[in-house]
Amino acid sequence: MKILNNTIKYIGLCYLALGLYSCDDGLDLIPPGQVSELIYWQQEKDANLAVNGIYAELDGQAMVKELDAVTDIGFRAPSGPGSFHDVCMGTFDPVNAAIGSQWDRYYRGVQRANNVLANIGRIEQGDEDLLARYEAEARFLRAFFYTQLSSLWGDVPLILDPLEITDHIGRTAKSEVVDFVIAELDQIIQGNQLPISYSQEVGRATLGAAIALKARIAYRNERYTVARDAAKAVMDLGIYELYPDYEALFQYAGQNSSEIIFDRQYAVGGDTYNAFSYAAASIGGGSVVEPVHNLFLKYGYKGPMNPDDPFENIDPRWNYTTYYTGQPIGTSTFNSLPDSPTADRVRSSEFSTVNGYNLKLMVVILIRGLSI
Amino acid sequence: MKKRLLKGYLSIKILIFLMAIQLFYPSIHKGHSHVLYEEIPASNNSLKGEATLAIFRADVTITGTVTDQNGEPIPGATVSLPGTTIGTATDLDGKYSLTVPEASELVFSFIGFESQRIMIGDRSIIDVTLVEATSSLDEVVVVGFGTQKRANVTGAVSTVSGEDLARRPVVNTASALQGTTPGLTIQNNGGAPGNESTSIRIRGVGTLNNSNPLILVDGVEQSLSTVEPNNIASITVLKDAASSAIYGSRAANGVILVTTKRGEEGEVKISYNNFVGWQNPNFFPEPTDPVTWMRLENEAQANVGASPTYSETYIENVAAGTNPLEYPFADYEGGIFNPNAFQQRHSVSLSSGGKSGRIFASVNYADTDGILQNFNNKQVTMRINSDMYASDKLTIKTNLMYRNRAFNGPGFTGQRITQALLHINRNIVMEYPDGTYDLVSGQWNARAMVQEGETSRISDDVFGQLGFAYTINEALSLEGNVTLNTESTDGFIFQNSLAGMRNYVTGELVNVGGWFATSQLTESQDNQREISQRLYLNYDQSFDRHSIQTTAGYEEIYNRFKQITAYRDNFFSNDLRDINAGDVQNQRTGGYSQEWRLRSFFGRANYSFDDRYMFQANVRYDGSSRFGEGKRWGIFPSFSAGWRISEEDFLKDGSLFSDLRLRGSWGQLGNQRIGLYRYLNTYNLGTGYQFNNNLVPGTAITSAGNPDITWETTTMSNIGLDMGFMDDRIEVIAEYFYKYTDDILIELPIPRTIGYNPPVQNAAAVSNKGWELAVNYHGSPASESGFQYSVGINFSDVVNRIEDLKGTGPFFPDKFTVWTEGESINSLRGLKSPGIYKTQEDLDNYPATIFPTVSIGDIIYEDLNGDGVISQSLYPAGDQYIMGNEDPRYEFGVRFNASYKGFDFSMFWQGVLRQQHSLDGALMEGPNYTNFIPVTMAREAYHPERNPNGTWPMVRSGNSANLMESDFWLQNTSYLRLKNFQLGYTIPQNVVANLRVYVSGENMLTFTETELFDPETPRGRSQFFPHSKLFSGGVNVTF
Repeated sequence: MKILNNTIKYIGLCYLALGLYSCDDGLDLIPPGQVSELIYWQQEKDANLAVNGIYAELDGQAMVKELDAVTDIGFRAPSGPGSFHDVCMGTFDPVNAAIGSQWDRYYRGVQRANNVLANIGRIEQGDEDLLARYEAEARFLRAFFYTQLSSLWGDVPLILDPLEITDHIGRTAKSEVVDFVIAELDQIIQGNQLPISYSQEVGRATLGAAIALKARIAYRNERYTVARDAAKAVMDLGIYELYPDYEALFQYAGQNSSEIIFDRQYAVGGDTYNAFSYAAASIGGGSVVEPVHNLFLKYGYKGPMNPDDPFENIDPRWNYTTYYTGQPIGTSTFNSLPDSPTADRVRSSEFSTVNGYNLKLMVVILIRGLSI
Repeated sequence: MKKRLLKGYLSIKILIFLMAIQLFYPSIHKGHSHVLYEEIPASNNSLKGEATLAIFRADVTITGTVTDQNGEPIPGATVSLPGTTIGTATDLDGKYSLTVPEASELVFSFIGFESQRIMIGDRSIIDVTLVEATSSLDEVVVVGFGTQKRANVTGAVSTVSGEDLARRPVVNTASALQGTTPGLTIQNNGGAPGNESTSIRIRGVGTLNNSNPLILVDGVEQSLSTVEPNNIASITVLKDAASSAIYGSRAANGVILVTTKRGEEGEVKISYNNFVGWQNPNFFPEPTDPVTWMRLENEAQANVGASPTYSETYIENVAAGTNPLEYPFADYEGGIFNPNAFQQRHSVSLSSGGKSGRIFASVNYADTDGILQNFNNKQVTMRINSDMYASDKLTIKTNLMYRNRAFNGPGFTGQRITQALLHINRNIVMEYPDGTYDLVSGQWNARAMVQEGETSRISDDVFGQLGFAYTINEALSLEGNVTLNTESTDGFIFQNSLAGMRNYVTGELVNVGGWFATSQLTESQDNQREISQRLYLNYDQSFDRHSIQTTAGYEEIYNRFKQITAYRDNFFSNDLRDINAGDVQNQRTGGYSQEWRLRSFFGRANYSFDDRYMFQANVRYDGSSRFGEGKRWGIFPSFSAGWRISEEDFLKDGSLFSDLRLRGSWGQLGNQRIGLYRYLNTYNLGTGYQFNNNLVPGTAITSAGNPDITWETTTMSNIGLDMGFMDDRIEVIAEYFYKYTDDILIELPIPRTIGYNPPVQNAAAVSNKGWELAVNYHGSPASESGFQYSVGINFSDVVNRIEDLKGTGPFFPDKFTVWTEGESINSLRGLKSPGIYKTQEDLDNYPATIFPTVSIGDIIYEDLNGDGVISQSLYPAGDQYIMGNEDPRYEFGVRFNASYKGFDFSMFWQGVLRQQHSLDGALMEGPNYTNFIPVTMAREAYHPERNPNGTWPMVRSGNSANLMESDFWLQNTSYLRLKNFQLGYTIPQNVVANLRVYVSGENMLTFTETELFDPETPRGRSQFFPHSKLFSGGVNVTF
């Protein structure tokens, strides 16, 4: 029994020694790469970063590169269920991931904008004018997301505050969503809450972008008078005009040119993507999205049509947009004919074109010069 | 810079110094008078006098008596001369007489007793006392924080001896465990040398999250693959809650305890083991011959109305092989495989023990070439385990291990190279005489990819453990240790640029794109550092027929991981591979770190009465930094009991059973391996954007946190029955278990309008129930003929089921899998197919098709929901159904060992009676996308005239209708495999104590239905480092 007593004594001692420090010491480990919400919204910088975070949800590659592929001017290659290929073929189902991810992206943007609008008032130190501009940018971006949402889906939930994860919000009629967007934009425009241009951070929302967005949503919703007046107001700003060189518009020279009102910006090392997989097989692409003959038919002729060469005298924008047999590609010549010796031979591999054309240009321009 | 270098060297120097001290410690202390451990048993035989070597080998006659420990004579005991047919048996009085050459060594053996080898020296009378063999019930089993006698174990525990492991000539320890233990599933997923992927599961998949078991090497979490098999003393697999609850919140998926060897009492014993082996690809799909290949490609074109790819001239020239530059047909297999890939392993170990302490030291070297060219891995492991007797009560234990792993390969992974082999046209020149290549799409050519660039991964692992054992009094002892375990890895991937390459024939610039367009280098530095400490008090006492053992302790683990990466491209040349030789323009850096801590208190109490009734209780109280305040601490209890029926009077004498024992247990375990910081709402700093060509940082809440998050809890019940017959020469172990995991973390869907990724919530439940059976038979020990054998069979099954998803789901974690209530976690979904359209009648019977172009020769899909279209979502919304699952059912292992005189033979069969695998990718696409054409496809592709009985769909260029997930492509991968065989011979000689040579084969024979891939293949497009088989030979020497 003495031994048993000893045991209890030693166990007691051990626990006493361990009990000298609190049990939770060292178990409170804060992530070294993320910021807790408890310490956010204290300085002007916080608002800047949070607004930049909204811009990151502007239309991404799937929207820009693949949306045309579900219309009658393009084709999306198959790549497992749930892609825009299913939409293109008309076999998509209610859980199609490609469609769902666009919805998610816009509502992520809405959530980030709502989060800024709900919290920016908590910042006590900072340049008032700058904070007001950030707020206007957030409202503009939210209006942009609702423009896209209502255009693609019609009636959509109109959410203007941050939500709890248990909240369920029903849909709002499309016309009300449109009314809201126009009213928001009007407030920004009339209050002159956004600058005409930026000297440094070119690509942020401008007054011109707000008016142009108003013109776009009005036009899409058949409110032609509003659309016409807004478009006129953009032109009257006197700072936008069509860029003279269509090809260069899609290259470095055309970046932030006079034709660009608002676009998804690009920078090396940023949120870029390998558009090469969308390109022709012979230059390492996979023909993920390709133009079809219907696109060709949409271009007119700039001279007499040659019945032996349908590409002669075609609107040069066709040449800038697509690869077709006979065009130079890399160091050789694009050839998608069924007897072609190149990797571009039609339907010759998973990577080659299915219809005979491949895409050439890729750029993300959200609102380009409007001519009405 | 200089300072940092110095620091690096300094730590290595300190390490070497420490190892040197360890190595010499026992000899340094030899003179000292620590007389405390003299009760160490002396040699077992009762021989007197010394053996000396005779110079002339004349025959002598030896006589004597063989007795047991009580002095009773043993009749029928065998006395023999190993390696010869000379031998006899003792008479009724235990006496024998035998004529043998002088200076021979005799072996005395009898059933149930330890055999003895005795040098006869110059004696003519040798009396021997044989000691009763310790049966497996007296075997000591390593359990959590201690050891236990096998007879007292009440949980479900299996052990594998280090000897069994070391016999398998494999470089990856995990694969040596395959099939050894019922309930332990090990799947070899292939992989580059040094990076083999093995999945380890104990009793099924218990969670939707991380279901890897906890693997502890000397009490500290480490990878099983890299532990040197020659350094392992034993492996214990803790399968039920009772045995693993002492590891609490880390033990839900079971625990594997690896104990490394320690020094043995006695003179210095040095042993050397080696093997050299040759590996070859196993089950890599066989390509069809070039002519059939090209004709089938032409057929695929013809079937869609296109002109043929290959002209008759082309085909004839390829067949003749006379003009390979003009009419090329690439033999990628020949271009990338490395037949008879060499592998070698050497291991030297030293064991010694004296009055002042014990030591085990070992140096191991393994060098493995990959079965793809230019892949290699080298591993050096040094280990010193020592026990120093500081006083009669205090033993200091130190374990030091240093391991260097160096992997080398080309600039592409094995997966990528295999992908190229399976997917890229063969009408190109794989390599010109001047070393240049043709490239498909500017970047694809399997040969170029296995030749160009460089990958290296060099890891330094250091393990240092300083511990003590202190005997307080006859019942109480205190043990503890502090352990540092670090792994740092230098990663280096350099991809060559082939820009500027000119065609060998035409001299024109080759079109180079993709990864060959510009040279690029990614360097990474991973550092993991784990510091842990544990302290526990043991109490062990017996009163009359009562026996009590208790343990109480504390453990704390702190782990920190840090990674940094750097990238540059456009290097000055392919040969300058320092990061500074790259272009700064596109340089990128990145990095992150994470840390966690676990603090625990634990206890165990055993009580047994009269060795008949045994009770055990365990409890662990865990606090984890992974959870928010208030949710941090959890308690994990377990209880178990055993009844040794064979010790009861009614069974004790003359019964059929030599052992009969019933065990039962219940307990709860946790799984805290669910990611870090998931309880917090945090602003993610990685949501930047760009303005005017400049990057700008951005923040956003991307995932909602869940402050209520806590661990997953597994509740497990186990019933076991152990039976021994014929003096335990037949052993039967049977187990039944039910395991229910609750509070599994899943991302329950939230309305998608909320704009966050859904937070994880403790919501789902999964169950596993199953049984295990092991039967071992040990043949009678060396009879007169010297033949001895043993057989072991194990068999097990587990049924997995998702019990609860809170009414949500089904979830689709990938394109094959579906998670839905009532089905296995590994369920496969797909369309249902009765075969292929062969007649107009078929077309009329199944009018709904996935594409309008579907016609004769394509796969029929059933319109399950009858809506007139085939759609790929789960019934009833679409036409997919749950067509099976990938769970291996009825796993078994059969081990056979035999010895005859100096020869020993063992073989080990392993298999699964029911298993399915869904085919995907190149192997079913074939010529439709100019991919790899296996012989199976060439034989089976349907064609109305050429092959009307074909069972595979018609080849059609660009066809995707036949590639949908469907039961048409479900393959039966049940298999039986000769995992290992080994034939050894112990050479009779007098130079060293023991000398054995052997030859061995791994995976040499497999019986399975599929010929398209190895039955252990992971799912997916068959793009992985190919499986291999190994033939090897080796030497074991003990000095």
